[in-house]
Amino acid sequence: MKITNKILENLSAYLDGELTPEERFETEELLKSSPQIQEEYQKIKSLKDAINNFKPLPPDEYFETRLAPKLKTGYNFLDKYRIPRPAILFAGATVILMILLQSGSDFFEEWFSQGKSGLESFYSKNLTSLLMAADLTNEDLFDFAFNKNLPLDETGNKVLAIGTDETGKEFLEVKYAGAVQPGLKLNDFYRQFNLNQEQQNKVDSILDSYSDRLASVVLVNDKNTIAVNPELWRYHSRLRQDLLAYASSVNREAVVTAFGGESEFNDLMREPEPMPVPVMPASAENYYFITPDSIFFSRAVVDENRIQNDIARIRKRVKSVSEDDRIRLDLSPVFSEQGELTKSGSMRVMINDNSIRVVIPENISPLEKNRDLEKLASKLDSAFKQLKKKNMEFKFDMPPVAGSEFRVNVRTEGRSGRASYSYGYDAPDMVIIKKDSIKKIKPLDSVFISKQFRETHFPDSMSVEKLQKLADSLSKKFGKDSQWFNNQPDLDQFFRDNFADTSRIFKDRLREEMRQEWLLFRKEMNRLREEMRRFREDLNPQKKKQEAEPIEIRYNIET
Amino acid sequence: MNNKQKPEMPITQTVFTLDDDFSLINAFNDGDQSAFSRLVSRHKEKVRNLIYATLGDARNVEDISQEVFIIVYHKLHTFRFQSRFTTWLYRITINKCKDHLRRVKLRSIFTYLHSEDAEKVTVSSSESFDIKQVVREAVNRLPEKLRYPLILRDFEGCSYEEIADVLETEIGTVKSRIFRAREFLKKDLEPLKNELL
Repeated sequence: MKITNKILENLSAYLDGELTPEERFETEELLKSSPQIQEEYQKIKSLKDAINNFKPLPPDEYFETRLAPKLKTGYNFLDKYRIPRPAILFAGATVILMILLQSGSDFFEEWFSQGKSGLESFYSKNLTSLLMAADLTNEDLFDFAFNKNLPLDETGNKVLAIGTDETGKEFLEVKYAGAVQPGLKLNDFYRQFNLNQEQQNKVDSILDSYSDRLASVVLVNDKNTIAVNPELWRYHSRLRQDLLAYASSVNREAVVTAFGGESEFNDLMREPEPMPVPVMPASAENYYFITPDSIFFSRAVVDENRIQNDIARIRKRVKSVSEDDRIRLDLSPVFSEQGELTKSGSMRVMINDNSIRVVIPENISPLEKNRDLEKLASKLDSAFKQLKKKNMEFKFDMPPVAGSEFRVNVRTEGRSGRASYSYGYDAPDMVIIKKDSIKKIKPLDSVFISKQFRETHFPDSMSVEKLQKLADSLSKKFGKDSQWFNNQPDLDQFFRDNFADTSRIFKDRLREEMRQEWLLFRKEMNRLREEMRRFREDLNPQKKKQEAEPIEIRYNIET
Repeated sequence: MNNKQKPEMPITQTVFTLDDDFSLINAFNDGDQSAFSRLVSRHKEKVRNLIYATLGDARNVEDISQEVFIIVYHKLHTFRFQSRFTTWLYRITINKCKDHLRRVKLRSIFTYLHSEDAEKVTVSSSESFDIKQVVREAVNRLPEKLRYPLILRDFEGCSYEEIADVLETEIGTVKSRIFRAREFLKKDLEPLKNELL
């Protein structure tokens, strides 16, 4: 008898005494007739008993004693409805108010402001520039320009990411670095476009100029608050554009190649509106606050001079210490004033084990929608994906002597980080080829594979296309080095005994074998990739994906 | 279509005795503060253990249970006597637990989960292998939607109708979620089925 979910569901409810008389009768009949259902019933019953027998907490004898004083203070705003206020208290309060009013209005302004924005003031205390708090380098800024990530602390454990979701809405994301796909690095950029030292310095100076501007755009504090000014999106686009424009001015050909051809490149460069340089300062005095307890949007005016002075001071100190010394930051709060907005609505927040994503509501997004800019951004994204694919190198070390291990070394130095693989090949198996076993050259399932990862990232850009290229190169190399095989005594004998034109047959057969091996190799690589993905997940348990739960957070900031 | 049967309290059941919850609530609303103490004494352990079962650890039980009774104290005058007091009380408790879990989730973005786990305090057993503790941990692994109805049923002994009222959902949904929770646990505890039986 097939036990359906409906039967099991009724069994569960039967055990709880929650069935209708008809359902109960049917279930009892089933229980009598089927040993399988009896077994299922026993399993559910055992579970229920186990939960029933949970060991309770020891009784708390002093619960009421601790509760009593809190009852009077816990919900003051409701007390007024319950506790009658004697007129004398009101009169007394009025007198005190009058005295305080005479003593100065500052007290009240401060008190009133604190009451309205208690949460905001608590979390906006001691905010300072992320640039200094996380000790951001030019590499980090480059990473932001091309990969949209900014490290949030010196250790780089957490990053702030920006992006656009599938519905086209901008979002902010705070996530673990382990959940971030490694991207194009500054050194890759230099190498890709063959920039010399002087040109690299120029790129550095572009990044430096943006670091000053970014200083007031992302702020952090010791309460794990992250305050982000919407200008961040604008800076991101412009920084990337500036870097690209400079690269094309010094090595147009390489940039054109990277972007997939002259027409594509021209189209890309024609599209954007001229971007004023320097970039506008963070004029919008609105910040998205992401805190451990809440997410809100508030107006805040940053003391730009304060930040710039801090930067200047830090730079001065940096020059006076050696590279290894750590500088202790001693910075003052940067907000010179704080106010409110007149917006209300709800923000969509997605949380999973690795990240918290805040989708920016359109009615509080001060970003000017610039279609050209958005079009450009999407083109740049796809172009840099191409760049990422192109930036891989393969090297093959062919076996120098017969009978030794034959190794294929693959090194990738791409956007996804550096990785080196070494595939060992048992050469003796190649030289004892027999007539009837020529198709049994030991395939890759016998290959032992040693992996060395300079970084723990597996190159996700190892596309089929690239692997095909690898196989073709391997095949060509074999063609050139076929002399090596002919020098083998066993092979010579084999060819002499069996074939008139040994070299031709050898080449043809070998090529065929190599094709077969290539297919196996590709399969093996896919398996390895999957294995590495699992390995990475094991290393980072938080990375296990869970479906993000949307949370609607109301914001209502009154004037 | 909500097919939940709203519990209408028959007139015959509104005849109060000194010890029942309704009479205590009425006494409190009439100004008898000691009635609230008696209400707390009657239900505090249920609330504490419901929080413990829901959160899976004892660290925040005291704070949350006190918060629950503070809310009860200030909102008791809004109680409409249309359901059992415990249904109302459990709804407040579950909502406080949900708030707490949401905050923990948000905080976990900023702190390593490992350190959180290391600090976890549970009622420990003297035995090295405690089947009850294993079951408790399995219950804690249940998704929240499945965990609440199962705990209210098997731990608190609530009827499906009461659970539907506490969780503000339908009876059919409660039945289905309790079944799914048990199926989840059966699979999760499959290696221990011999010890459980």
